[in-house]
Amino acid sequence: MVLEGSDRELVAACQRGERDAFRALFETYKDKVYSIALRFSGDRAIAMDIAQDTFLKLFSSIRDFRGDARFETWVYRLVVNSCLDHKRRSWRLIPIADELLAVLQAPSDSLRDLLRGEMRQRVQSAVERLSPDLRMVIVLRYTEGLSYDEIAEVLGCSPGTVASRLNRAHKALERRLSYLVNQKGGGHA
Amino acid sequence: MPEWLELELAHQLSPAAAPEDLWERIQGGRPPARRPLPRWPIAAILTLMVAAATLWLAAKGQEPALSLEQLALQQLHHPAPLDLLSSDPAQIAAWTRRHADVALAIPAGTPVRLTGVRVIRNGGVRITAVDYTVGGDAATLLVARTGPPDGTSHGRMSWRSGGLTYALACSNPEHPEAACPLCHAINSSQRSAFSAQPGG
Repeated sequence: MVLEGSDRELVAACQRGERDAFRALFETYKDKVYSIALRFSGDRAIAMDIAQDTFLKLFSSIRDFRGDARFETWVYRLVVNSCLDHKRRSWRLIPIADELLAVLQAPSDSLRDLLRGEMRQRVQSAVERLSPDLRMVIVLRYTEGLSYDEIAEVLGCSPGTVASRLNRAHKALERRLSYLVNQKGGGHA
Repeated sequence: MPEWLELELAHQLSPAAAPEDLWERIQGGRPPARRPLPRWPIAAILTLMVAAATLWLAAKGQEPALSLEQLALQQLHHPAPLDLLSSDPAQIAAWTRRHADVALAIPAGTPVRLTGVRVIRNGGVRITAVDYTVGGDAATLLVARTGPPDGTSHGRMSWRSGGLTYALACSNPEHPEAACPLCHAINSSQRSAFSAQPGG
């Protein structure tokens, strides 16, 4: 098995059916799984669905994990598949209404918070408009900070393909978000 | 890639903390809660369907009467020859029953002066046209069998009753109701069958 020390023990305990091990494994990976789901979907409720789905699959199939890849990579694959499955199933009838609701529900203690939220909304919206393949490499790269090789391993493609997708995604995002540079004077929020 | 985009993506797509209740949801083992589809598209589609059906039914219901009104005006201004010249209500009623299968019980006390009756054909439908004058105005009443005897409706110059559609035309364009006494200027005991839903 290609496992880091603590993961190796946790996975082995889960494979033996130890209940506490499942909770520990969940605590280890919950933020990673939820973050990818949230940044990919742009919706907290959907991210919860995806995260729940991912962990249910993880717990039910952990006995099948043979250690051919790193356990973390295996988890990433599960969440990536859940994201793409959900994307295929979902049909967002009223994305504009969803976004409006999110803005209305967002806490806005100050103008700074409001502007920050607005900026996040615009970037997230631009990311959401990418195709699922391009969006996923962006999320894995910027949310999880994975290298090209690691992304390639998770997605089951070559590092060249990852580079190509990232390049296309960057160009599309630059085109869609360049107006923010003028608004902000090129600074970082 | 521009530096600002790299920074923006790293900042805006930063990791997020999982909600506290995620573990409870997983422990519950219930399937992911699918958000219900918004109901407004379904309601909108149903509303449109009902509206379309209503309009269609209304158009279907009005079409014979409306076209019959136009035909009545046409017959008033360009009348076909009368098949029966008569001022006798009973004679006209009998002829109409025999030749057009339409029961017209024109009251004997009608204040109008009957001229005669004819049967015309329009779109394969036999239509009875009764010509008469009232005061100085000429008028034509058309009666057509248009369907089963269910439901009644009426407009200003046309109406439906007992499976028959009636339409009235009068030469007085300002007061077309001048033709109405054929049916209306009678007392209730003499009220005729076709005046059940008076339109004129």
